[in-house]
Amino acid sequence: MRYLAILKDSLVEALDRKSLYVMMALSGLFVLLCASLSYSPMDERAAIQDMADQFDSIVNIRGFGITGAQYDVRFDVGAIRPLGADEGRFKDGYGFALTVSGSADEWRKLVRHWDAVRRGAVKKKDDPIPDVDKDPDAELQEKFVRDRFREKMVPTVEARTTGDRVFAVKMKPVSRELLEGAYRGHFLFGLWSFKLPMSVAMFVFVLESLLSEYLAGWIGCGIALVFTAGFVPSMLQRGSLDVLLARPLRRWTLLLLKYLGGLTYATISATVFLGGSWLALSARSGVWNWGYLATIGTLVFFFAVLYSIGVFFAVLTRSWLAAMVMPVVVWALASGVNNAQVVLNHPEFKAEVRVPGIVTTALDVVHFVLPKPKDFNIINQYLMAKGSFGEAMEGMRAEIPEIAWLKVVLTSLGLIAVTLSLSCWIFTRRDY
Amino acid sequence: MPVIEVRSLVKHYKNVHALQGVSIAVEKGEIYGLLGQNGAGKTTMVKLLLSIVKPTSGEALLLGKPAGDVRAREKVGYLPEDHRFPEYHTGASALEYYAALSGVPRAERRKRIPPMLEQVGIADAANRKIRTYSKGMKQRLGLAQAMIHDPEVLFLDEPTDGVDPLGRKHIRELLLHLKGQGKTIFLNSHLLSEVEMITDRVGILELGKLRREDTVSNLTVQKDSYELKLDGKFDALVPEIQKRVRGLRRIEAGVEVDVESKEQLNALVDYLRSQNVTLAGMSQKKQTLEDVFIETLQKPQDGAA
Repeated sequence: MRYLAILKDSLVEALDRKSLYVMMALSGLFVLLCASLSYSPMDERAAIQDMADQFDSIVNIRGFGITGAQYDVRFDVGAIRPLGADEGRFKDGYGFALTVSGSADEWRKLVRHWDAVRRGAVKKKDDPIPDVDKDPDAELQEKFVRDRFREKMVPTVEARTTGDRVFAVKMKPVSRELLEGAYRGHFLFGLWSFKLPMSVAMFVFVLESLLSEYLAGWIGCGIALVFTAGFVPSMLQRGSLDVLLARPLRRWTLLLLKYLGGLTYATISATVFLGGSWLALSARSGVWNWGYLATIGTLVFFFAVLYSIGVFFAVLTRSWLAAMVMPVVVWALASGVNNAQVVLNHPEFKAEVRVPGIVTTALDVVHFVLPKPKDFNIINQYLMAKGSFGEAMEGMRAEIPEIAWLKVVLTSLGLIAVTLSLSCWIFTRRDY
Repeated sequence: MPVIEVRSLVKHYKNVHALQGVSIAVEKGEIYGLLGQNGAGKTTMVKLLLSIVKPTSGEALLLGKPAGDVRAREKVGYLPEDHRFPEYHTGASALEYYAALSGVPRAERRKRIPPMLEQVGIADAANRKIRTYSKGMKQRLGLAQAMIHDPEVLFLDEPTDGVDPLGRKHIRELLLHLKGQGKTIFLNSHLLSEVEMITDRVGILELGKLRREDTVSNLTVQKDSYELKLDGKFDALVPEIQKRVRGLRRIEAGVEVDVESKEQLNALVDYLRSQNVTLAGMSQKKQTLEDVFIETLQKPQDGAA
């Protein structure tokens, strides 16, 4: 009962400051914008042709930085026919002929370059492409065609050589929503239409990534820190605190419940924003990415880390400004350290630049202690990529850097425990 | 067993000696007034009892339990001097909040809050935000939050501060009503006339030391001064009366005399009667509490230069 009373008090405070209304209004606006997106199906042949039009480019993101090249080769999709029964057109997939035109020299370089990137043989811009002068055999050419479609999230593809640079392709997308170029997008309830540069599923994924990482993860988290910064300092005001301390409550309980009040506020805001946008985007697209919904948990967890720092400075200084500014300062510092640490630990960077051991050790130690915004983003990406795309996102998951999940979770929990314990210790011992 | 008991309580803040070995015991059902100038240590004493500040040394017991014990605060209500209630609450929701923190069950809260607001005279403003309240209204709300959980002991620091004269009278009546219910009240106040009207005992603190402590009647009585109301012509007798006492002052319808002893007083009465002056009334002269307070503070402390 006492605990609920304090949680309810934080909510009343947030409502009175209009901050929760502001958060809800902003969330509502974004949910409405998400709901204004719709998609209309396009001709399948055009969709498959759109995919094939991108096969002339190589983008290499496996190395340190992004490199790539474009070759003067054209891919033409012809004689397209549904496979199996007609109903549920994409259910059984499509068969078609893929004809490659352009010079044989460009085709050879394209296939060899693609193969080198796939095998990790080319990492930097000026790295030579192995066997670039050797014609690729039929097997490698078929693999090129098959895997380029797979990169477009089409998991089941067969490619067979039927002539010189002519292939018989059978493909079976998991769903129409996963097929690149199969839809046209409409924004603001049809006021503005555009050609989707990717599949609907990927488009929704990218939107959700942006909403989760930037809007909710940076802007939303920042606003929540500002709006909740006053909770503890207002409780600690002289005259206000005396009345509370005279109640039959332990001081540490009082402080922890105020902390939980801030977390409740953040959870409500994150749930409304991410849950609302998830519902709107999913209902309009048919792509139900449960991983996006799971990012509510990581965002609130990350907020909990920063907010515990805010509570610590609030108890230490009784200042609203310190409670607001210090977590943001620590956040900025932690982002810098986290990014530097990711760069320094990158194998490509390590191979190129010799960094003194003391620097990497110091960074590792600071990274261990501080919040880990970058790592939380990576966890979010994992959760989202895992989502409901299944097999189709295997390639994408492979591109997400490996991090030690358990270490991130445990060190973050440890940071919360340390800052809150210190806050409680100071709060319990201090005279008011 | 005393409801409030402090023994040799000492509190130092860096270079300030807020309390220097104070001992006080307050019995159940008493109204105890703690008087003192600003900075005398009155608020520190209450805060120590409520464990808002920690003692440097000494012992403080509340309802028989150490002051820091959470259970000791279950039956205690407190109105601080410079209170600041969360302005985002209404009067009613603030009471709901404080009652819940004190462990009053939901159904009981619903039952208690309206009459409590009525009792302190802010029922009409129950659903208004506290930020719209006047100082007097906030003071009344402060009293309500201190009483909402039906405590056995009330600590009130300047309870009538900012309240108009009619409101003060109302609060005095309320405190006497609570005393009638067997509640113990510990009062800090600058308004000595009010303290005099309602307290059973007072203690006078000066610079952290308890200078005097007694019942109000014992403190205010002036042992050797009497008012004599006289009928008849006595003006001619005044020089003779003056010879028979230590001091004399003319008052309306009589004289005020200072005597060495009761025998001297009796001798004076005999003399007046022998002169056919009728004694219409005689009373021991009393000081106001304010006089006692000022007199106490003007006397040098033991050991002071």
